[in-house]
Amino acid sequence: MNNLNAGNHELRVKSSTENLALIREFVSNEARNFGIGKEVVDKLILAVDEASSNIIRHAYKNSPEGEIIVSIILEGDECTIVLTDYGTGFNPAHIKSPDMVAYLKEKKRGGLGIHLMKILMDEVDYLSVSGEYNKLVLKKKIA
Amino acid sequence: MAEFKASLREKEEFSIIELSGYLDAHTAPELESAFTGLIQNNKYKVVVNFKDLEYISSAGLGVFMAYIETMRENQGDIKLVEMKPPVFSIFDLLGFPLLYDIMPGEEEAMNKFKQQGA
Repeated sequence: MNNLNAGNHELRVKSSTENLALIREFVSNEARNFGIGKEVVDKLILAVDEASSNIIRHAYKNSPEGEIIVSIILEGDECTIVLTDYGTGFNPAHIKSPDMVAYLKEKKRGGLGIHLMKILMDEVDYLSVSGEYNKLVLKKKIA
Repeated sequence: MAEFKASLREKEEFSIIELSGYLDAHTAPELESAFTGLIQNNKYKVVVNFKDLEYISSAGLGVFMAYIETMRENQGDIKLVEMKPPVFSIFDLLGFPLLYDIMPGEEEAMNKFKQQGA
């Protein structure tokens, strides 16, 4: 395997929506440093924003005192981003992808972020160790 | 830090909201209050100009979903204009073009309102 471009970089921030801009900037810089093209970088940024917004809202119930750790790894042609939090767990696999027409008509708002993450990424995995931590793993082929 | 602005102006009988910057979970409440203010003033014919909007996440999309029905129930609508391609692609991914008028410019949106007897 070609590991010449491999790297592992991490950002730790408090769970405030104010930090979403910082998180996006981190993903953007790291992904571009890996040489990933703009179109994929944009998808990574949005998926991580959605994941972080969900952590703030659901895992930490909008408390800005929680911690979010974002780490980004490039291995071969696959970019993996792991988001770790220490809040309440939830499983995105249990959230069904909505029928958008019915969804928009019903004026529902929840679940859109997870739906987007699943569309944007190749793989979305979730690991919750109750009372300890939650990890959301986003994977995307970059080539 | 991300900057976002939603500024309001009137054009004929229409309310134009101009967006700029980054619309995310942090900045979406500012757009919500713009819509709330319009509803309080019985302004239901809204054109949102996306010309200077660089970024949108689902929190921003949710704002349009939250207010569209109120506007339509009052013989109005929310029409979306001048989106940059990366922003449009997010609306498109989620099927918004089926339910929202996404148009090239303000003139087209205002003409469509007039055709619809608004």
